[in-house]
Amino acid sequence: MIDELLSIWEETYKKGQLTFWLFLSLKDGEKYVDDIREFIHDFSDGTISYDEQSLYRSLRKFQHLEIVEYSLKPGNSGPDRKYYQLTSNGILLLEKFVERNISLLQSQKISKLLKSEK
Amino acid sequence: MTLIKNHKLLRFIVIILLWNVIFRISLSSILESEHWNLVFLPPVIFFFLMYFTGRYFGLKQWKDLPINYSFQYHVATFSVFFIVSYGFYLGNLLSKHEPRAILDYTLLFWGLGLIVNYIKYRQCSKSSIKGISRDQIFD
Repeated sequence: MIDELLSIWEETYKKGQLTFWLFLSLKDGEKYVDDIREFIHDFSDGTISYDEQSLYRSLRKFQHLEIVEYSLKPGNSGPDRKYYQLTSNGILLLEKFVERNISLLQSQKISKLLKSEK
Repeated sequence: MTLIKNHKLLRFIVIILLWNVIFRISLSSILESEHWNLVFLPPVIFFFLMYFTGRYFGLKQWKDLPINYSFQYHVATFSVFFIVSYGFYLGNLLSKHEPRAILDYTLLFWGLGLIVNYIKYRQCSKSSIKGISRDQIFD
């Protein structure tokens, strides 16, 4: 049962992290969708992956909200590729999110608690 | 401005314009020739054509970007319907069995429905950012 619960928890947890990983990949530099997928796969040690459709859907919303923008650059073959990057608002949003949510998990008391044995 | 930017809405208008013209011509022809047993056909077919056209474009628009354009689509449907209907009336193209009062009453009641839709739309807009509902932004 533990494995099943763990799997359900991880599924929900990972879904909620799409924006964070997307922003993290763009903080690393401008990327097109395949690059973003690759970044997420590599940096999560292969534990997290998102399908192209989900990424495009989020990118379109973030572009509309002006936290992400893109520029067209020629691809290897075929049509131009959309290279996405964070706007200044996007960078600010990520910084504030990390400050309020991620840094908290890195605090000494939480780290200590997670490392401590029963 | 929304119309110029929104190509899907523009395509929707062109298609429903065609449905409205076909509806008016077929209904008036059937009424004029007094085929009373067929009179139900144009409104029923018109209803389904409008419903599926709206559904097709609405879903396409939503998949692209989850912005609530329901009111804009409603205004477009309302405007096209009455422009075509009153256009037919002014051009003497309606049947003698279609008095202007029917159009006026439809305009009145549908207009009230449109106002209710606008009020609800404004309420929904308050819980959205740039047209995207708060629940949809990071889903």
